[in-house]
Amino acid sequence: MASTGIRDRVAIVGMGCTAFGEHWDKGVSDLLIESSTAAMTSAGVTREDIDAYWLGTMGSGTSGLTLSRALRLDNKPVTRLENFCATGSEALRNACYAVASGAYDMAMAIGVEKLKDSGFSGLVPTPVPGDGTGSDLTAPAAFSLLAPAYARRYGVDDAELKDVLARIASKNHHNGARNPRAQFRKEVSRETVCAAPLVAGALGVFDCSGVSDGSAAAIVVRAEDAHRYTDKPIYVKGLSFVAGPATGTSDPAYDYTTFPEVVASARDAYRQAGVTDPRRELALAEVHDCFTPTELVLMEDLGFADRGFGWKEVLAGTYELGGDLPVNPDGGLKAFGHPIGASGLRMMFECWLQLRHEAPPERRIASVDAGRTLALTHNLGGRPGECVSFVSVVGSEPSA
Amino acid sequence: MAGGLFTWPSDEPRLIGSERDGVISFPARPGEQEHLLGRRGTLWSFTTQQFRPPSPPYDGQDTAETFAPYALGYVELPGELLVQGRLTEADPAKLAIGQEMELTVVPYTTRPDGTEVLTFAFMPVGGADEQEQDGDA
Repeated sequence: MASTGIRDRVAIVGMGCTAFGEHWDKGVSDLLIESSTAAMTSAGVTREDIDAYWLGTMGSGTSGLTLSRALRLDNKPVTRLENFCATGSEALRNACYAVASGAYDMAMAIGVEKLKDSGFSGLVPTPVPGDGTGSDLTAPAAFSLLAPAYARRYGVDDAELKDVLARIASKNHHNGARNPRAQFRKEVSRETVCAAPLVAGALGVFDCSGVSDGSAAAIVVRAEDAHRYTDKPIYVKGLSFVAGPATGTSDPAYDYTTFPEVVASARDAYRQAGVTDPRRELALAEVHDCFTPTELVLMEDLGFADRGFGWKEVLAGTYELGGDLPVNPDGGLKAFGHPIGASGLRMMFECWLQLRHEAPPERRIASVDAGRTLALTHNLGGRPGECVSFVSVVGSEPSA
Repeated sequence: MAGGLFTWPSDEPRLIGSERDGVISFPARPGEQEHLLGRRGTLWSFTTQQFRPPSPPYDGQDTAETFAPYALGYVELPGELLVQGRLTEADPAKLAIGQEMELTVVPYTTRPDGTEVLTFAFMPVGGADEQEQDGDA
């Protein structure tokens, strides 16, 4: 038994991503057509070249017909899947493994979500029959529990922690202001973040990610075929996905200062990719900043900071656009927006742009020019104590 | 809001759980031995809900305009389990992890047919009179 991975066996050769935001004038099909067409154009291929599709959407469509109808596919295999907020990453993982298996020469992973049409500014849960023992906190309330837990464990006072969280929000808005596809394109000061109306616990409006419509897509081929489609393929180094035992909310030993699922998936992905020092080896990381305390905790769970020191690294600017390890240089869920099924592939789209030196000059990061060739995406689904976690490592160079 | 969650009417309401092979559950599972949970525990963690949650599952009769923020938390009942529920104290400055809490019953909503619906909540031990007034408000 081993999670051996598929290091350097497949590569991404084309990507597309719509603007995220309020697309009142576009339906799910329009968004799927826009992102898939952009991905096919960037790889120089057509629908006929693609052998199979994985469509990730949490609730904007059911079955493969959601995609095959939009693209008028001619009896191709299309799998629709859902894995909470990690849905887009799960589409990519399945497409990569399908190509690595030899079953298909070319696969597309595509994610889409249309959230604004619900009329509710937040996620509307799908009712699932249960025995009533489940936690029924709203998402911001559940994630708000991280902040006081972290402050208490590491002796950070509440005001200082609020400043740390405000820096994370402000950083991601700073980056989003430099991203034409982002939902929120204005810089937001720490003072504004701190003065915002409260949503849950200590979390205000600016501590929460954007609720948006959008779609993103990737085309995957075997690594040895990659140069037929692009001079700058992005090689898949490691893909790890775990579903936790979901015992955290009823386990007094779980203290809300870590996501054990993230630690497990990061360890697995790093091992597959041969990464031993992520903080120094990665050029950038796109992480699941659904709420500001999540990004703080992730810095430690992903090995970007020692336990209890993530907040100091945030204050030191380590994860800013010009820092040692830029995190969410595209604005993240916070500013780019969070159309659930598309988010994991949107993260990969930023890695694609940055590692290929194609990011706009105003948000280009120095670490790539300095010779770092690896990037990480991290996608979380669920809530503290009961979640799924995905970590990928990709790179612009095949291993020697 | 399901029925059968707590003993009522009662001056000292208890949550109705169940037990089998030493494992305690709340709400009670069908077919298991009834087990009335202890009334006091410690506040394990808490937060506040500042906006009206999506409906369903939320089924209060209030609107986004009339919604009143509330606190909710997990209370650890010693030797039993963690229970999530509303707290009668909505001001987080007056709550602290580890403080002693006691079960109470508070109004939840009034159905269109006039039926008053009650729910369980935890109130800080000490200031009980004041807390009960908050719960009724």
